[in-house]
Amino acid sequence: MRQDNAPDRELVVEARAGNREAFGTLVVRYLRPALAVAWEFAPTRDDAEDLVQDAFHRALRALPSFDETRPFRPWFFTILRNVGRNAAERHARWTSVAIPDELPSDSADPEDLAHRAHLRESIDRGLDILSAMQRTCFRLCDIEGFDSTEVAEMLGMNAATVRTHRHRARTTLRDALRHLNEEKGA
Amino acid sequence: MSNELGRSQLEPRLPDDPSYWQHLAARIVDSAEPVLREHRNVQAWWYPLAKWSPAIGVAAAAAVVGAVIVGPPAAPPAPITFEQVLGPDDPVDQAVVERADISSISTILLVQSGGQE
Repeated sequence: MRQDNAPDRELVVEARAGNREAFGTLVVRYLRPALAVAWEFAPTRDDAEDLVQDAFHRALRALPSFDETRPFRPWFFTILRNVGRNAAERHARWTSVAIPDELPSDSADPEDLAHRAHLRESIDRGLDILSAMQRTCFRLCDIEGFDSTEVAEMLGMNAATVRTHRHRARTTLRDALRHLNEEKGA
Repeated sequence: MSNELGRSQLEPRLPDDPSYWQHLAARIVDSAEPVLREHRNVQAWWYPLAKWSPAIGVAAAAAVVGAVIVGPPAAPPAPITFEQVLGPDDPVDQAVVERADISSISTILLVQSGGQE
């Protein structure tokens, strides 16, 4: 894969002429955020990888009709989200399943381990009661480390909306943890 | 929205291992090779035209509609003869003058007026 700083526009022109290296550079450039978005629609990493592959192939096929003067990133993520939605509709069995396991810990104290497991379970439950978009924004920003602007482009919304969803998610989780502490103190 | 079994939703799901991303990228590019080959087989000149193909189609349709509305071009005017320019305005006089042979009535008139060749 070519690891240069060629602009997307140049890579798009070369890729639609069949240049494997240019297409590979585009794939490398957007693979990580693409997998993060795809995973929001798929239950497993393997399924998410298949969605990403499908989206890149669809984008490559559609490149001849793509106006290279327009930005590639939002166009590609629109394709990816459509692929994800279609797949999720086809596989209605893809539902949320949060089964917490034990937190890895150096502590051998059974009480500490139990507390950690309880804490994780509480946060996971808190995440489950968030709206889908709040959970997605929280996960992409606070867990995977993308910034709000980047997530906004990945999800096709403006950055202010992403920040709003993220803030509400944090508020909900904070309330859930406060409730946990109160239970523990009682 | 979901997560894999046995994982907390608070753990980052995206792998950190660079080799994972390299393999995934290679898999995607390798599997796209048939499409890349198709693109290579298409003449490069077609792509700029393809981008403008909707506009070209609209322009062609507009040209056809315009041609139908305007209709066929008018026939060119018939050439003006020497007789039409110098001859009399009256249709009867024109018929007499423009005939190649002399009409019988003309002969009579000439005789009656006393004219002789």
